[in-house]
Formats: sequence, structure tokens, C-alpha cells
Amino acid sequence: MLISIEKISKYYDYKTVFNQIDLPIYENQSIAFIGHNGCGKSTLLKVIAHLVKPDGGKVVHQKKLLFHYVPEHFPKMNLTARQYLEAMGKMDGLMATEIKDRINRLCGEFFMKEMISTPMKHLSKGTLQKVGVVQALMVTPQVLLLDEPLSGQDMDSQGVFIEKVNQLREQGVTVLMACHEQHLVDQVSDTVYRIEKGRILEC
Amino acid sequence: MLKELVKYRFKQYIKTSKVAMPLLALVAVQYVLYTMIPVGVVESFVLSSIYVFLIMVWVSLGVSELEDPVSEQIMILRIQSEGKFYFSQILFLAALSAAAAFLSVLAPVFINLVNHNQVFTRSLIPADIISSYLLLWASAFLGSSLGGFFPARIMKDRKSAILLTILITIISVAKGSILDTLPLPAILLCFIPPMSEVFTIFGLDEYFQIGKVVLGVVVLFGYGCVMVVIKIRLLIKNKF
Repeated sequence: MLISIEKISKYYDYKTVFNQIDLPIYENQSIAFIGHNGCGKSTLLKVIAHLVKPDGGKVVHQKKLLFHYVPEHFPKMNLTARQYLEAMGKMDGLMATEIKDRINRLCGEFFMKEMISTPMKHLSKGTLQKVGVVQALMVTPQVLLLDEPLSGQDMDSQGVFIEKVNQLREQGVTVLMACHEQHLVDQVSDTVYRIEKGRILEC
Repeated sequence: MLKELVKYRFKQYIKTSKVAMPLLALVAVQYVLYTMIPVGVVESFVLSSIYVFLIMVWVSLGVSELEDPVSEQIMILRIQSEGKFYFSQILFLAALSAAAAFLSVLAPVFINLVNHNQVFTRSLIPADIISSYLLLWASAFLGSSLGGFFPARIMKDRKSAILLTILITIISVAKGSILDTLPLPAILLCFIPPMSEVFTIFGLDEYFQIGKVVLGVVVLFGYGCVMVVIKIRLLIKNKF
């Protein structure tokens, strides 16, 4: 087991989001969490990554894990996509030439080469979302968190994204995804859980 | 890793419109401060340290407003350490403070040279440069710690956070006068940043004395560090 979710509870304004959830997550598993808006899918991803503190229970990582995260709404910034991705590459410990190669390759694959020198505050929602995806793919993480990763992306880019996620799965990456799109769930997930009324149900 | 984080923060900050106004204010303050000459060396640098403190509160408030939870989350996961992430923020603010202090020492030295050593009531000696730089840096650091003490994750109501910061800033500068004027017990204001203590420590000294400089720098840096540690602990405890 890679991550163990033990009796997690979470409340927002007295509303129960999770009630004593238990869930084992195994290495190389690809899990999709589905459910209505506001049911707690994104919160669960953040609880798993230790970004949000649960009100009860605990999440145990069996070892120190490198998580990469594709958020639902990537923030607008004054930096250009290239400047941002270069900074992320440096933090990932990549050499300057590797960073340049990966940015050019990934941005090419996601059809955003022309926008790479534009300040991110001027990018469209879809392109901004692609920056969010590219930053997460700069190096191979152990766990990839995907929060509505396709929102706003064009169809061709969606295809590239699905291909990339499946390549990562072949490399042993664990994928945890909060998602509404059934076609994405069908193509990248081996386990599907529905979050409903504070409980987690396997589909 | 830390170096890259600090560089990233710097790049992000420099690309915003929040740089120009405080920088302009810093230059203007230096110009005004050394226009009415001659001025006492210690006295003018002590006054300058108050202005640098105020400007750094402003700068740090601006930096706080730039923070975005999503990009913070991406970064914390990427570097696998909340501690390192927040420590890079301190290093960044300490570096900005060092730059503000450098400008605040360089400006009078330059103005003095242009005015054929007529700006100060006596000639500047190397000890003045070193002492004033340390004092200004410590004051700037204290200002940056105060300005960033109530980020959105600690105080969601931004209006109240800004007003509270301004109130504490004013009291920290005017603490001495407030205690002289109003019959308040000193203990009430002992938790306020010790900026007004700089006046008490240096008084109307003609020369910087090493003991007083060390005391001032330790008090200012020390208080700034305590604020920063409290903030980091709260951020780590609260999470997102």
C-alpha cells in the first residue's frame, strides 16, 4: 500500500463532507473520484496530499512521496508560461538544456508554443489549464493529482493529455483524479469511487 | 532549491506593479531627509530606519496580496516541504530588506559626496556605514515581518488584516510617545514591534556605539524572527 486513508472526516460549516472514510491506495493504481459538484472530490485530493487537514482521522504515506498537482483553476500570473515552467523545471532539479527541451516538446504537443511568451494573465482558461498540465509533467512524479484536468482544453489537447497520463501509468505513477468527464474516467482510471453524502462508494 | 524558490519569488514580484511605488517612496524619503543639511549622522540614520520600516511594511503587504493558494500548493508538493517553502519567503523578504537598507545607506553617502561632505555635521567614518546598514536592515526586516504577518490564510478578511497591520505599525513607531502621553501601563504595549525603542536606544548620540548597535539590531531582528516563526507555525498548522 502506498497511501492509507484512515477514518477521515471533514466538515465545512457544519456540513459533513466525509464521514470516517477508509481507503487504501496502492502503487500504480489509477483512481477516479466522481460525484456532484461540492461533494468533496477536490478536498479529498488535498487531504490525501496533506494540503488540507482533516477534522478527524489521518492519511498515512508509506514513504516520502513526490506529488504533482494539476489544479482545476490554474492561477493567472504576471510571469510568462515559459518563465513559470523554467522556474518549475529548476525546482525539479533539471538542467537548463533539459528544461528547454521539455518545455518545447510538451508545449508543442499541447499546441501552445505560440502562447509560451505571453504573460499568463493574458492566457485563455484552456491555455492556462495546459500550463497547469505541462508543469506537472516536467518530471515524473510518484503520485499525480488531477483536479478536473480537462476543463477548458480543446479536443486534440485532451487526447494528448490522456496519452500522457497513460504513459505515466506504464511508468508506475499512481494517478488520483477528481473528474466529471466519463470518457476521461474510462480511459485513464482502473478504479472509480463515487463520493456521496459523506461516504465513498466503489462503482 | 531554496535559491530557486527565492529567485522565483523575486521574478514574480518584480513583474508586478507593486514594486514602483515603494521604491519611489524610498528614494523620495532619502532625498527629503538629506535636503535640510547639515544633519546629525546617528540621528538621520535612526530617522531613516523608521521610514525604511514603514516602507517595508507596505512592500510586505503587497507581497502578501500576491500569494495564491493554488500556486503555493503546487510548489509545496513539488519541493516536498512546507518548511522550506515558507523559509524561502523569509529569505526573499530578508533580501528585499537588505536591498532597501543598501539604497538607504548609499543615497546619503552619494548625496554627501556630491555636496562636498557638507550633508552631515561631521565626517562619515566606516563604522557609521556598517552600523547604519545593520540598523536599517534590521528595521526593514522587522517591517517586512509585520507587513506579512496576516496573510489571507491567517486572516481571511483582507480589509481587517490591512487595517490591523496599519494600526500596529503606527503604534510600534509611536509607542514611546503614547506611553509618555497616556497613563497606560507599559506592559499593554510590550507585544507591539519595538520600532520606537530605536529612538530610546540611540537618543541623540553623536557616534554609533557598538554595544547599542548590537542591542538595536538584536532586538529588531529578534522580534522580526519571532513574528516570522509564529506565522509559519500558524500556516503549517492551519494548512489550506
